[in-house]
Amino acid sequence: MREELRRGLRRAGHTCRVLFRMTVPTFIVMDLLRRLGVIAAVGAACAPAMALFRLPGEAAIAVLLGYLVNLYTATAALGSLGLSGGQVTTLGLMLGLAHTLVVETIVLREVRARFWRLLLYRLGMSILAGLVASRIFIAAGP
Amino acid sequence: MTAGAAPVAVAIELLIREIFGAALAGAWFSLKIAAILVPAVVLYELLAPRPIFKRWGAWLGPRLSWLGMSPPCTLPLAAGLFLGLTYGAGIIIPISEERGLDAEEIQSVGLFLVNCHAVIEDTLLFALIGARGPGEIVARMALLAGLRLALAIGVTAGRVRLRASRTA
Repeated sequence: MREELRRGLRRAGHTCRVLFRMTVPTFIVMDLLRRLGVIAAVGAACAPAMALFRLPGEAAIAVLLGYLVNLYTATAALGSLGLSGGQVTTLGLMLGLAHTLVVETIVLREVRARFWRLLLYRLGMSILAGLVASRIFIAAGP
Repeated sequence: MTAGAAPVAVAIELLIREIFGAALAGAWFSLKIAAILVPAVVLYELLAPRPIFKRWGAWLGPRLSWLGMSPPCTLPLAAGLFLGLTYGAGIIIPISEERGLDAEEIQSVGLFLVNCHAVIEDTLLFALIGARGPGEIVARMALLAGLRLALAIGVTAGRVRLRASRTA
């Protein structure tokens, strides 16, 4: 019982350290980029693509961070965009299916799975799920 | 002090305030997640060795053939589902050497887990954004976890059927 408790606390502590280490710098960088107008520029450039998912252009940054880095940085980047519950659910499904792709694909290669297929599947299913979920959870824009 | 130094000092002070404010917001965001994550992970570790979960695993084992897996896959599947893909993969290597899992089984476990892993952590991160209360957090977590689990089962079972129909 005590051993399990200790192991649980150790695991939770490790996760919290990762969480803080990822989230605090992401908040700082995102805040500075927003002040400099970079977020708005990227948002404008990505708006047409993100409109397919009924999401604002700025959400593209969170999607890319999630795909390439991890979910902590992605959700930290989303925190300030003021998204609706349906938009968060759609992004949660898209990024839940495909995230941390570099590291996790290396892990799948290590266990000798056919990792290229799994990678392509994840990206395809993430986009497909985003298209479907946005039609269900997000009301059509103006 | 020269005339140009004052505006620079003001700019630096503004920058430091900006960074400090953002860091505080980030720390607060992390704390909110940690407040739920820590008890959830501890609870999982306390409950996982209970006999009811062993019985559950014993029940599940033979039924995994439906997903193209044999009973030894139960452990990596459960570890991946709750703790994360890396944990599931870490466990599958020794099991595969010990019990001789074939490539198709490993692909089935991989396909299942890329759809659905670390269901507590991953869904919690999104459930907390803009949620207005515990009810909304729980509902969103259940929705995200449920959809991913359904997809994992559907796609993995579908792949097994497809391969069976091709070889038949």
